[in-house]
Amino acid sequence: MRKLFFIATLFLSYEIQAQELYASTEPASTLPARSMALKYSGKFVKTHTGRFETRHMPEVKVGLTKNLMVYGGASFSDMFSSNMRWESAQMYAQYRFFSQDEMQKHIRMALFAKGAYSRNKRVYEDINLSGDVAGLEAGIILTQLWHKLALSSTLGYANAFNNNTIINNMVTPSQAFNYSLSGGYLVLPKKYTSYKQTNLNVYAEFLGQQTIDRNRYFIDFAPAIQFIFHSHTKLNLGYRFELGGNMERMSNNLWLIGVDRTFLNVIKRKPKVVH
Amino acid sequence: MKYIALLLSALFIQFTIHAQNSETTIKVWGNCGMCKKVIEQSAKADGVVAANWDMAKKELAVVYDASKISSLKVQEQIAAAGYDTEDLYAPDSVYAQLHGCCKYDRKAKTTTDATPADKEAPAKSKQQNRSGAVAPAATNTTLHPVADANGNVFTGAMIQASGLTCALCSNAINDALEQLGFIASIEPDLNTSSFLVTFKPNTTVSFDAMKDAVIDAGFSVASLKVSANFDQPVKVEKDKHFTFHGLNLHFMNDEERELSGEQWIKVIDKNFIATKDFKNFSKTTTFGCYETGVMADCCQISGKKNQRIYHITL
Repeated sequence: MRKLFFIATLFLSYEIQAQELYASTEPASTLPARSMALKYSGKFVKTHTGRFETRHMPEVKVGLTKNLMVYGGASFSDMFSSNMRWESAQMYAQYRFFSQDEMQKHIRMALFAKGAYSRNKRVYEDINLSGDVAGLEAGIILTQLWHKLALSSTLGYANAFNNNTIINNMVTPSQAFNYSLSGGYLVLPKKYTSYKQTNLNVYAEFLGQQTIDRNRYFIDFAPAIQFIFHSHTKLNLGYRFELGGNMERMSNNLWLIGVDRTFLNVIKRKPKVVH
Repeated sequence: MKYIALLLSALFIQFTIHAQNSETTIKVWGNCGMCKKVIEQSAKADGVVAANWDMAKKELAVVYDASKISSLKVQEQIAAAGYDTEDLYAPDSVYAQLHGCCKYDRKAKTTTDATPADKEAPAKSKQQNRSGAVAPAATNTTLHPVADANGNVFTGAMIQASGLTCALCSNAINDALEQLGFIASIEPDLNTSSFLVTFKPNTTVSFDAMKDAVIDAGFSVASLKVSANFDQPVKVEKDKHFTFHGLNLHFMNDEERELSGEQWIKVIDKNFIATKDFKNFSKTTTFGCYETGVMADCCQISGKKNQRIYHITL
């Protein structure tokens, strides 16, 4: 318990609010086949002008096969408007092409592609395909699990569509590399007794972007804690802030909250001949 | 800052640490997964924290708040749902309405006279029943699938999965196994990623279906051992082929011996064991059917070419 207290204190002492993190990166593992997940993510920022703004993102995820996962999502926010309104939609597909499993260990790799539509005009330099900007992204994910510790890294190439805005006397960047390095650790329980136990995970993620056509970058750090209830519902609380960068962004920090419920085997399989 | 951390920690403690509760095990008669669901649901009243019915042992483990409810009260609810318990009989009218597969062999009335009227002396009747319960358990053939012509059956399996640590991952495998029609019950061990499976009666067991359930959940099979009951002894030797309970089996690397009674056999086909172990086994055999898992010219059972054959070892 002392350790939990320590970790809770550690993570919360960056700033008072907590936030979720899983909205930021996906591991190479995909959803179980024939399963679905419903996810809500909320992002909360205080802009440079001092206005408090929010973004709400519902998502539906589907595990089509053991290796292929797709999801669709939308976002509603008041970040680019005076009122809360629908602003964007996203489609995402991820294919796991490599798995090497051992007892409580794995190495996995996956390819992903994302397409985003956004009503918003380009106002900032960063290419954020989760609401701000319309565009495409594709990349690769490598995840490694060692018992209670999981490390994951992502490298993606993103291309923004609506980039005719001029900021700082230059046109907004349209191409960027996104990269991330994420660590997660299972803190509780020490020993499993049932699926009903509440689990606690802690996460630390580095999230970076380097634009290609303009020399702009940011690198963020995003710690989070995650509770898992009944082995199917996640609650993520996290905070994300900039460690360094030279981009014109909406905000250099934000808080995240996420709730994610998995529904296993909800898609019926075709009858299979049993030998 | 500290206050928030304290608050969070306190909240978390509430999730994980329960009040002091009593635990007990109650004998409850029943058959199948459907029975399990009804028994566990009917047991869950105000004051009952957890109820888990073990299909193989016919025992219900209950965690309850003794200040709110008694073991007997829990049994009353289960009996009202149609299931005999160690101290009580279910009403015949309710038993008669149970689904066909739930029509379990009832508690032998000769073993005890315990009826709802025995509420005054639950401790006594409990003792009587514990000894008396042997009778129905011993005659209960529904624990195992129906035997083949030789009286041999597969009774259950122990599956160990690899590539996971988290409870959510284990739950995905557990749920995928639950979807299989021939599985009656699953006892997961989250710490070792293993699942002890009991098969239903009158069903065809598929090793591939169990393996696919684990893989579709996103993980790998580290080992799959099947418990078989050899009522009629079977002679095995290296590379011997034979048909057991409708499945073609090929004994690999086993010395000549006779199998009888309860035996655990391990499936060593591709994707049933670690890849490197599969490669090692491949090197030790000249049988082409090991690579493909399909009967070929090399196989010793005639007339079954292209059928699935499982490679096993003791």
